Amino acid sequence: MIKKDVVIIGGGPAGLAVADKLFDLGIKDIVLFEKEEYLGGVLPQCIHDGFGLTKFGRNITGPEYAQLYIRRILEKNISAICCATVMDIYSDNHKKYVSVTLPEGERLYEAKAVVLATGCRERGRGSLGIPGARLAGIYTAGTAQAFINLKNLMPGKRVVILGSGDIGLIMARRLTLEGSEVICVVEKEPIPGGLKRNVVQCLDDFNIPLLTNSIITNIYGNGRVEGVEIAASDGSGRKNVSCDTLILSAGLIPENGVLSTTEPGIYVCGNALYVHGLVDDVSSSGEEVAHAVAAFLDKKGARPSGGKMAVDKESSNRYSIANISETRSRRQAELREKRLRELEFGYIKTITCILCPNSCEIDEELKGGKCEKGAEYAKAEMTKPTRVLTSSVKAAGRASQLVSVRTTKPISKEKLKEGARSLRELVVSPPIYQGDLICKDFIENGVDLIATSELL
Amino acid sequence: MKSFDAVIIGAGVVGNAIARELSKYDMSVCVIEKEADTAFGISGRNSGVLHSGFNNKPGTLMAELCVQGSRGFAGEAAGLGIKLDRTGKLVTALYDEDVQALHLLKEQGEANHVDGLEIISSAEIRKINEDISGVAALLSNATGIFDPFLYTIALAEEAILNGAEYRFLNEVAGIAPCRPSTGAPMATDSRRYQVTCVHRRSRCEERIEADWVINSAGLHSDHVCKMLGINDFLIHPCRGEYHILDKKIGSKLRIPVYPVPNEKSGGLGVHLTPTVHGNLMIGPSAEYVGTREDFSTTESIMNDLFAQGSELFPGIEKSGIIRSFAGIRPKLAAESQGGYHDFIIRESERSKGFVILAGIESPGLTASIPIAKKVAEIIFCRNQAERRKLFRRRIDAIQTEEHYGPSGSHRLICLCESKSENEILKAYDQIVMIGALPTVKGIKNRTGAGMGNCQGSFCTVNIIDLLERKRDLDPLGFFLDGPESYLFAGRTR
Repeated sequence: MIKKDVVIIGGGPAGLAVADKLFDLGIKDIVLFEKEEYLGGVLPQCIHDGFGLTKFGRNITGPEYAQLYIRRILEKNISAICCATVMDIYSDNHKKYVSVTLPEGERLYEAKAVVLATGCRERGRGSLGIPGARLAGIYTAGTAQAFINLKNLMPGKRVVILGSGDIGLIMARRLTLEGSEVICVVEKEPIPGGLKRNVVQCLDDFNIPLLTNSIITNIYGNGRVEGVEIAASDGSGRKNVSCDTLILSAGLIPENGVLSTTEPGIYVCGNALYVHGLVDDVSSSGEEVAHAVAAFLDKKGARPSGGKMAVDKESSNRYSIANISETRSRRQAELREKRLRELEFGYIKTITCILCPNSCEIDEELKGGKCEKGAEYAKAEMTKPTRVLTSSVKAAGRASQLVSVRTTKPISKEKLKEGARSLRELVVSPPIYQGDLICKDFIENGVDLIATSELL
Repeated sequence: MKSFDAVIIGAGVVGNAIARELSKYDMSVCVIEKEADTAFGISGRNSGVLHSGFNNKPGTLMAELCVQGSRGFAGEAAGLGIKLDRTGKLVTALYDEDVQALHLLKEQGEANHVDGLEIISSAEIRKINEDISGVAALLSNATGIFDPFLYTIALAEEAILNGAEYRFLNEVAGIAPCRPSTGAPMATDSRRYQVTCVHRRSRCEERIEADWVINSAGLHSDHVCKMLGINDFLIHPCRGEYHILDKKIGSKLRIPVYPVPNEKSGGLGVHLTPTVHGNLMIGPSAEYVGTREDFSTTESIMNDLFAQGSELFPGIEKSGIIRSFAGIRPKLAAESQGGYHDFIIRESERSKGFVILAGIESPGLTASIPIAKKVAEIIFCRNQAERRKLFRRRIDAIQTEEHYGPSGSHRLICLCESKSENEILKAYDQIVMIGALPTVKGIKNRTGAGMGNCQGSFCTVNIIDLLERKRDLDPLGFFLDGPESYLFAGRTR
């Protein structure tokens, strides 16, 4: 058995932030377990931009965001073990035990505190209760994203997306850029589930219809999906829509099932606590929990060094296991209120600024932005709209190897599809490091294409 | 042209049990299956219950073979290397007027020589589980649960271990009587047949000769009979839908709970059945449908099932549903008759050497090995039984052969069901070993990977990546469950 001060479960943005912050607070005898072969959680497959705006004031892609934290973990020499799955957490006489499965077998750790940063999972067809046949071609949005961006596999050619969550919206754009036809996005609520900026840059940019107040009432086909039946949310007006793929983006469920104890000293953060809209907030949640853990270790006199720190009781409690459901219901109430507000004001004719998650509505007089960028964006949007292109290129070697890329500057919106298409011819040779120049003067003069992931 | 002593049509639980039984003898056996793998039809679409035999009319084959199957199952399961969980079972009377029916069921069971039946009071029900409804119940101690996929697969593997051959993705296109050795068609009292099958992917045609043709085609057994001009019976497909609930709810109920059966219905009534994986199933409904191929679930029945399940066990929650699916019963009793018609297990009068198995619905899973022994009796009343040979058990192969062995990485690929890289690779090798087409469903049926809460949304990516790296699998030629169910439209790049 191995003894540690803190065991962190999950190497996504939340877990990485916990490890990083704990180290800075002087708690260095820690270990982080990650089930996948790489750190970063879902970020490496989120090759689009829009990350890091609130936390770093920069607009970066998922792999770049992950790398910022991974680098800190490496520099601080924090023990992070991949291909490690935690099977159980239990307590005995106030000691906490974590049983973990590694490629070579099971191992038991003893810890003073345990942090669950296990993220969330996608709501699948079963819990959505969609009738019809069990066919190939039904993917959750995250699974489809992993196949396209990490494994070089296209799920289908004619796609219907159920649910307008952010991942579904991002996938609508991604599939379109890669040559698939997204027939429509079906949303049962009167308003889209994802951020307004994603509705603008993923659906509106490509004229993809969003059918609100609509549901899917049947899936049919022979072996593979051949179509779905779409109806109004009251079940009326059913019509068949032919497609070969159905992508589900209808909600995320916090993943914290491994627990068999509510012992003090076990904390939850990030999307395992409740589903956050932005990765920046997930990182912050990890940092907050690191403070709470440090305070807990202080109280037990178990913290090796460093002075007492002030942690407000409220935030410390929020992350303890006993208070998960309360935090979650409060969060849900907040979201509901926010969406209703959006519904009320959503129909004013404005331009939605997509530069940051605030999604400010800029009116005809270029007013309404929370910062000066809003007016600039709206002005450009009326004359020459531009977007950053994020995509991937083929790497020499294994058929499934890809390197994700982005343009260093926004390019003309009209040229997005052409840009993605031109990438199909490109093959790069490893090693590729993040930031490596892939193509100079890409599509437009002065715009470079750079790697956002690394491949050694 | 290939020639066998016996050709078996259908690699479901009955076909596999027959292949395995015949492989105990010095006899060449070939099983022809139209699907990509074994247990892809109705053998894998049921409650997975080992019935004790009180539901069937005394004197019927159903009753006799079910009781035999139930008694012998523990021993067979041990030799096959699969688990049996003797959970017991409750038939609960929700109202006082149902109590009489419980006594009748008990009497019927006793007439069938079923052991361990008792009528218990509502207080005794609560002692088993305080959330189960009912004023009284019939407790059947001999009833159990097992994994119908693994059982069906294990039977096929044991048959193959003892020399049986399997042809997957082969659809039988015709059966014709023929003269021995020449192959020319002749009169219908012939004892030799030529079976033509067509491969579903390559469309290649193959002719196979056999002395015995055994029709264990399940839902399609009447179609296969028609190929020899036999029109004695018709299959009436009766669909049953199920919900699968997560383990949180599954852990609350570990005994199957049934309602008092309705004589007119095509099934035993919507019941709750725990699975060996720790989940809970609600179902099946009973709806006569025109089709034998459409395993779709329907909006109205999906809602009804839940309401009916709640009557028996109010502790279920709709949010716990992780999957819905359907099976189809190959019934001989038409909708207008209702209830059950006995199994048909006989050699055709007109076409000697052609053995018909029809209407093998519930309790066919429990009765599968006795059914196979019955077929062996038909064959060996003419061909002597001294042709017995050494019979290898699957449990012994598990301990010695590499494709079962525990070597390799323990890294978990499926988190919900805790399945390791090693287990996924072994499952793949086992699929290849029996000559089936590797599919997502085949791996799921063997390991449970993808059966859990995430329903494959995490592990499918890793399974495909693993097989691509370690088994040279081309994902573009990988399927969900058959050659039409392709997973990808191409490469991104």
